[in-house]
Amino acid sequence: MNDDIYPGGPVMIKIDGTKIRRIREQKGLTQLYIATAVEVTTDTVSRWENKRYPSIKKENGVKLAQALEVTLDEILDSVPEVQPIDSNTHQPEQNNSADATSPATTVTRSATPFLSLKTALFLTLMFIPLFGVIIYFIYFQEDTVLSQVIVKRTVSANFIAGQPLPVFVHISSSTDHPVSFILRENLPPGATVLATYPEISEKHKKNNSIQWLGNISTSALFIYTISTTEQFSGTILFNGILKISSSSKGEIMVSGDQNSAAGLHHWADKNQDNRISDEEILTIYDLTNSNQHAEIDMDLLEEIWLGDGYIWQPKEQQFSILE
Amino acid sequence: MSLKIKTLYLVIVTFISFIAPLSFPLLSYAETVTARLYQTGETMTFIDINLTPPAPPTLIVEMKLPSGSKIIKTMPPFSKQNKKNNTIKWLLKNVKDTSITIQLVTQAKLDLGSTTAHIRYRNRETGSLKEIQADRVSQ
Repeated sequence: MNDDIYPGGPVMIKIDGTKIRRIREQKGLTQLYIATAVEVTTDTVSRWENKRYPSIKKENGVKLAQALEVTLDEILDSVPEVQPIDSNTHQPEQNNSADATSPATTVTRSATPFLSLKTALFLTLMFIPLFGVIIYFIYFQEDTVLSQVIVKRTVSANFIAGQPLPVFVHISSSTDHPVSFILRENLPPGATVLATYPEISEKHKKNNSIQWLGNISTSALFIYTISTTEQFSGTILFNGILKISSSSKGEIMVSGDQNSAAGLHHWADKNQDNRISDEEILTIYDLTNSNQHAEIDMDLLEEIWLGDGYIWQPKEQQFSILE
Repeated sequence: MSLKIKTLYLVIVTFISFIAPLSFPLLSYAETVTARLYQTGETMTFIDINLTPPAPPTLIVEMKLPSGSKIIKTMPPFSKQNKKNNTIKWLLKNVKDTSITIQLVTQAKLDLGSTTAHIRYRNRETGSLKEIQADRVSQ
């Protein structure tokens, strides 16, 4: 027998299943016995006998012959030609040692397997995270966009009823592409809009809200100035949402300041000490970016800052500036 | 490629990709405003303010003068004067230049040792109020 026809792979032989079954039955041996002796499963032995696995490893063939108490030649298929085994049609056995074969006296080597178990395992481990990343981007990218956008409202905790109160909404995006959005601010009950910057896209009278539509690359500032009646007392509440066009979740709430209480202090007087300090005026200038479009009375602010303080006169509806 | 070179390559790539960018926020917190106070001639006092990005767009400069100082004029004109405690203030808005010079002309030479200039602004990164004192420089 020529065992070295295909160097590099295990030596394969072709067995005759009918012969094997006949010999086994003649000798009164069970498939379990044969399976135990060859160290394969009974299913494998059954498949050998039914010619479903005609090619097996020579090593298993030798063990099988020994178990059947015959020579190896006696269980080989009698087809005389040497046939190389096509690795693509090669049928595996169901254990860690056996493999397939076909015709007789022929001993061949199987072709080298396309992928070794280790390589296959390695590739699988490599591809699992890759697929994970792909799936993540397909299904969660929209939410990632949403998480990269921050929308924050800044409004003073105090204001004077009947006087303008500016509200600043700052959107910042860290996405690498422009994002289309709708910013909607629901106006507090009883409040009217005096000015907006930039100009609003839409105003809903029904639910008393204003909205901007746009495209943002890095950051944008939206200002609206509201006013209540002079008789208003209590706290006004703010709420708003930001919708991102590509987001499946749809919207995020505007974070930051949520309410402002009516009182006797100018909205810029954050610590309510009847003065506008350096820090307070710098904050306002930084917030507005020296923007004059939302009808914020910066002249009055500077006047109060230049003075030694102020007092709100409710009857006259004006500020007295202390020199 | 040998294993050592491969390892070195990986370490460098990892450093550039992940470690190096971590230092950028620290760099951005470097002082963006510096100032110096000096005199030329008998009656002219100057405050030079230098700004590096991200520079604040609004600054308040407060100068405290020795008692009895008489101001002839300032460039730009000051915004506020408090005669009780001899201070003058400038509110500088929409600052776009990288340097600003404030000029003060007084009736008599100022005692620079008794004169201070403070610059207040909001840090653009943190939003907190910052105050620096101009360094006195002899000309």
